[in-house]
Amino acid sequence: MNLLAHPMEYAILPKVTIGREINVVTVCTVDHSIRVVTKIKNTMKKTKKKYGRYVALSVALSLLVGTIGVAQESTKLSDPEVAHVAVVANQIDIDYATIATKKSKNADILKFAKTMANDHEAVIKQAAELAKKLGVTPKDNAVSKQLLEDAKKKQKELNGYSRAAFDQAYIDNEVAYHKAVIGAVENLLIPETDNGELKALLENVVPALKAHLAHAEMVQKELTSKK
Amino acid sequence: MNRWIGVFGWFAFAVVAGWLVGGCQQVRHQAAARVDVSLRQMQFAPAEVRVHAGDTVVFTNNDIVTHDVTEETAKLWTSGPLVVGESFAFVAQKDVTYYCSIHPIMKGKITVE
Repeated sequence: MNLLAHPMEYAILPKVTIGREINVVTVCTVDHSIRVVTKIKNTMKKTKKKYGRYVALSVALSLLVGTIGVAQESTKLSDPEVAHVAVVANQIDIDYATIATKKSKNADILKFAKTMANDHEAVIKQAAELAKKLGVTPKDNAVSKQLLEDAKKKQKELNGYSRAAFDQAYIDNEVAYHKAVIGAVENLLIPETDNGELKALLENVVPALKAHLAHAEMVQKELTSKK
Repeated sequence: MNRWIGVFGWFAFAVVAGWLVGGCQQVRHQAAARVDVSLRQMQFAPAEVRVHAGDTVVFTNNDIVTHDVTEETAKLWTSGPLVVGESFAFVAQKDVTYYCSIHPIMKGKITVE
């Protein structure tokens, strides 16, 4: 199974197999940047803990952009691309909140959704102000496109739930989504960012994301206990 | 004679100095103080403050999102939404636990000594 895109590329860490049939290889590319490649395989092997950090990075990205199963995906992003991914990731959660506002009658869910909409709106506003200040135009890229594509599917799925089943599905998705976004921001976007102010903004967003996750888990627990 | 005057002088000085220091300390205890609590990175910092009755606790939102400060047990009072940069002053008379009703994982406590 060849995971290299170009004859000049070479793996800087050996192939690692995780979970069920997923290969992970950290590759040095032609332009000497580093990217993590994931690929579905046919046989099963145990995870090698030695390369856990690289596996975690790849899994976080894969969860976020839904690339498990996609043959090769570059994680190298420029600052305008990082800014765009950040804006898109925030907008997606606002869109989920909009669905919740329309479908749910549960006070906890409605309150949580309102907080998500307001907080992510505030982050987008700050990102837009910073981009304007730095003279940077957020740039569309493979990661943001994949994010939007996956979000579209999830929105369709959420809209399809009955009112009774929606609350659980929404909050479960919020828990999973925030976990994935935290992993991606910490392990992908922050390390990939060169500009100090953009990096600082991303670092400031992490505590808010973690608070959202804790809040979502709290609501999830309350919903489960009422069943 | 001069020796007795010297001893009396030192004694009088000690009494006056003690009165002044003690008096000032008393005044310092009585004057209401201001204690600042910053809302940043989804936390109240410091999360617990010790004050005297009548002291003012000033909460300032230095975070990236809107917060509030709400009495936790019976929701007796709230600051209302505090946008980034806004402050809320609360005069403490007794112990109180509070939280952010927008982000319920944020909690804090004022202890009145």
